[in-house]
Amino acid sequence: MLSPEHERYRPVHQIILSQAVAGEAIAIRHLARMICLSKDLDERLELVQDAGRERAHLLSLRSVAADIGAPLVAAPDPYWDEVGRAFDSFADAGDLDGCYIVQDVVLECYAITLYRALETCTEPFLAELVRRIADEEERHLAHGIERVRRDLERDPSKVHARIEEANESVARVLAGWVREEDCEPICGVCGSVGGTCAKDDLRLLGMDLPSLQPAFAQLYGDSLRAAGLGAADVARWLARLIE
Amino acid sequence: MGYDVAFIGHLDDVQAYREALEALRGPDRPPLTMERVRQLIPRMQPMPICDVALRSARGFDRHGIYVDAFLLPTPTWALRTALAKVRAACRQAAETGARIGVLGGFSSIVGEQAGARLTDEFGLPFTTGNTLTAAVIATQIERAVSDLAAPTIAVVGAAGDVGSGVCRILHGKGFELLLVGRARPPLERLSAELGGQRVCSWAEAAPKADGVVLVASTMHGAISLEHVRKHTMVLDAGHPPNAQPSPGLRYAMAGRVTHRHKPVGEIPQFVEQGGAGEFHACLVEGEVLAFEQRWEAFSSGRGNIRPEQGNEILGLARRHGIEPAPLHWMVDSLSERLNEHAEAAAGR
Repeated sequence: MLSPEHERYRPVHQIILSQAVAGEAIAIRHLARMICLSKDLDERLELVQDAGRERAHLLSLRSVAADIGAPLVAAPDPYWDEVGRAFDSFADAGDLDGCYIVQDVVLECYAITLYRALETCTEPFLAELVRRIADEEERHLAHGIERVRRDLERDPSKVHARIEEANESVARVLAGWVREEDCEPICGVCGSVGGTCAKDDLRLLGMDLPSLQPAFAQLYGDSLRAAGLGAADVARWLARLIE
Repeated sequence: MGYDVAFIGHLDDVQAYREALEALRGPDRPPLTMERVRQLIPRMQPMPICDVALRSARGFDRHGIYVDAFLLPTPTWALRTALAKVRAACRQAAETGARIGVLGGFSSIVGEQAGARLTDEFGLPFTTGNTLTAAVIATQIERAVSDLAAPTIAVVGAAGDVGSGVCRILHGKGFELLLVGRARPPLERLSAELGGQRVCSWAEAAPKADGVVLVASTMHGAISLEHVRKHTMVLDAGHPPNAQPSPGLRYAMAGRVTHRHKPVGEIPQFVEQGGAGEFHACLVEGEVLAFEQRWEAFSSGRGNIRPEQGNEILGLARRHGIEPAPLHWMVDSLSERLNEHAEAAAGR
């Protein structure tokens, strides 16, 4: 754990919290598009509620950043841009089920993995916040799994095609983002914030970087199997994430 | 669809994992380097890999699932980490809803240590598969030395669960044994149980044995065959293999079985680990128990394998069209020819 007196304390938290807020903002953007796609009033109300929860996460993270004195940075963001484009291709096609797979399964697995990793190596007040956020994201994930299971019963081939696409265009991007090696030559995300790839800073914080990608793959794989996808399909999708 | 049996296993080495991962990824993804796979495997968590369709010679169908533990024995490997992985694999197996779990390769060590506690912890009976393995190896070495009068068999890893089982079965058939292993006290106990069969070091045993059974829990190629006599028959039942073929030796992989109806895995690179359409007997024990609808930890704990249990499980396997595999002798023919030339040139 990095002490508040350490010279990297603020920059490290600035990068982490900026990224977390960016992720929550992306979720709100996605949910907003999903509200427009839904034809069912109850579902729309539920999506509004989900967006409200992501908003609460965002505000809490922003408030912690202010307390620490680490102002948030809205950096140009090639990883999130790619994820956003992939989500939009589902949304533009009016494929609400595809949007759920991206948002409630792939992205939630990623968020939970990172929040859980952060929980173990940060100060108690931030650890408690990210623990609560991760708990809520797990409920979203459970909802996403249930939805995939339902869709799978109706039309397995469509679900397979959607996951295939989400795996290639979202999960692979996210897995690349949390690979152990530094982004080369300089990460387009944190390079704009801190000057270089932030992974050294995450190591400084005590985060176990080599475990991040496997932990994401495990949660993602477990979720897909829990939704009823076959073990061989899931194994193939996970193997494709390896860089 | 519910699973009858969950097979927990791991591949032999980095190359095998590389090939299996390449097959999974598909040809459009860039190839993985050996170094990358070497880094990757210790970090990968156990997971279900694919369904396995099983068919008995009596016409029964059973449904299996293969769970890979992603274990790679290395010189620096930490047993605690390996055990944690095997337990994680057991959890995954239990979550599949299977009715019995089988622990293959190194994962059986957990079953040997934990015994019935695994069943309590995960709510699923786990068998180590060691009884069928021991029975198959004993049958294979018996066949291999059948032309020799009063052959002496060295069993390396004799104090282990499979090793001691092989020794008991062979002793019951009247073989003279050389008991080899790392720890002396369990070997002494086994020797006392088997009427004073000789305990000795590998250095002592290697030049004396007519047949060698390698069943040690060690890394790939860790046991040297340098002092084994030429034409001695070496059966390597290690998973991963304990030794490597050497010129002039008759060396074959053992502990494998053939099926009248071969199990069909969706991803053969993980499931058909024996090669040549053969399968490790340890995993097949679970298949046999599933055919028999015996949802029990048939092989459990350490040092419990008796000849009568070996006969029972081998008999059940045969009922379902499963037989000890023929031995495929591997000799480095080029090296052998060069040696023969050298010997001829030296006038020997």
